[in-house]
Amino acid sequence: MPNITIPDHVPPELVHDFDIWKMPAKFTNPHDYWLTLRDTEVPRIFYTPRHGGHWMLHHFEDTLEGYRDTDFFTNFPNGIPARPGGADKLIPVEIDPPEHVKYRNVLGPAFSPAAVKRIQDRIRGRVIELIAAVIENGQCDFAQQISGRLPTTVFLNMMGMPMADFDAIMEMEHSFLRGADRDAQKDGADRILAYVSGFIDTQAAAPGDDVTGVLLRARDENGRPWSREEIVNTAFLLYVAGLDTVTNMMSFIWYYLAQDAVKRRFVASHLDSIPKFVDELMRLGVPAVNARRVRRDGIWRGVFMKANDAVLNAPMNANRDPLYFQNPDAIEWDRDNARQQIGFGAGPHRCVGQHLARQEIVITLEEWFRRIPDFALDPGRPLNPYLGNIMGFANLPLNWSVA
Amino acid sequence: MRQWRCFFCNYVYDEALGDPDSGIAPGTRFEDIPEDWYCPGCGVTKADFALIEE
Repeated sequence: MPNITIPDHVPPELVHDFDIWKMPAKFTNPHDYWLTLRDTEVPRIFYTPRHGGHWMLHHFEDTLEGYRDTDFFTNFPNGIPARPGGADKLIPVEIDPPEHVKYRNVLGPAFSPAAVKRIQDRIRGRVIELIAAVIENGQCDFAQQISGRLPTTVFLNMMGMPMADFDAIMEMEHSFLRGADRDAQKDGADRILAYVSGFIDTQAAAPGDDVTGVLLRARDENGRPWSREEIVNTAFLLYVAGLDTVTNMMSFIWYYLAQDAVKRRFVASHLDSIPKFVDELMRLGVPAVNARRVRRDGIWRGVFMKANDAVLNAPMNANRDPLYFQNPDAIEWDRDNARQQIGFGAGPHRCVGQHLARQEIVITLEEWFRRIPDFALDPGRPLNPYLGNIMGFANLPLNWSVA
Repeated sequence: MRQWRCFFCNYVYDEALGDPDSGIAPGTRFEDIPEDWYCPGCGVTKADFALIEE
């Protein structure tokens, strides 16, 4: 355990050493590491001294309520530890209700089910291109060539950003989220902010018919245009929240399917039903945790917390809570509460891109299984898993038979 | 008139009040809300609402 003092208000029986940024080498799958919290004697709500110290909510009911309870918890700052650089405040995720409603009211229509439906043909076209580029090889690095590329393409398209910037955007994102140390992460965050700021400025004179244009035309309830800082901070959030999250949710889903021939056969023979059972796959594929801070001293679900205590919601564990999901580690297509999975969070800060992510995953499942119904993990190549506020695989080597 | 609750954020859709900000007039039955309507509280769809029993 790190040599730091446990705060006086934290009883020793609620202390458990767990590092969200580093796992023992014996683990390949970050979820397996996280599930040690479920499968060993760990308090329902516990305090880990790592990264400045924070509480952990990892059971379903606690985590759901942790998301919903914006009276006891504030969303700022949203990371553990706090973000090293980039925008001062992520909009809307680090803005508390009721102020955040004005931002959700602008972003909501831009990412609504209807808005996503309008771009689904473009998403499908890009998915088909990505699969076509690898199918004859009989192998691919799914994380690098499919799941790592689709969300960025869709993001660029929605924001109106030039596709020529694809590689630079990927590099900055990876530096920010997976940089070797805080300096590297700060460098990535600051470069993303500079890129987004510069792009916003190029569009300000003539906003386009895209999400950047939506932000530039946005008005608050009094008709006041959003400030440049509000626009840039919102665009920064869309950048950092929408790329690696969808990428890793997809990678986790393919990782699990690659190890289960029965489930693969089911998906391949039920292509028309994928929108109905994708929730069950997303329940297992959670890639992110979400931090909160305590607003005031008080007892929350039986635990005394002090103002400014950091709290982490762990939805990947909540979605595997056997008290809420029976046989939680299994893919069960007819699970009646699969839609209640909280991989996209809950409460007023539930992911604004949830419908877009869902549609990207549905379309990729449909087009992949139409062409590659059977595949496996390549045991000879490493997955290079990583942890943090977003977790996943840097590589996901798959192979399949080519006719 | 009935009420429906969002599972994820506890927003309550009251048929008597509708959701005028989203173009849903007061008195609109839940079944008659368009399928592309989404929760004003958290963005989920109609499928994530449950009837509040009397």
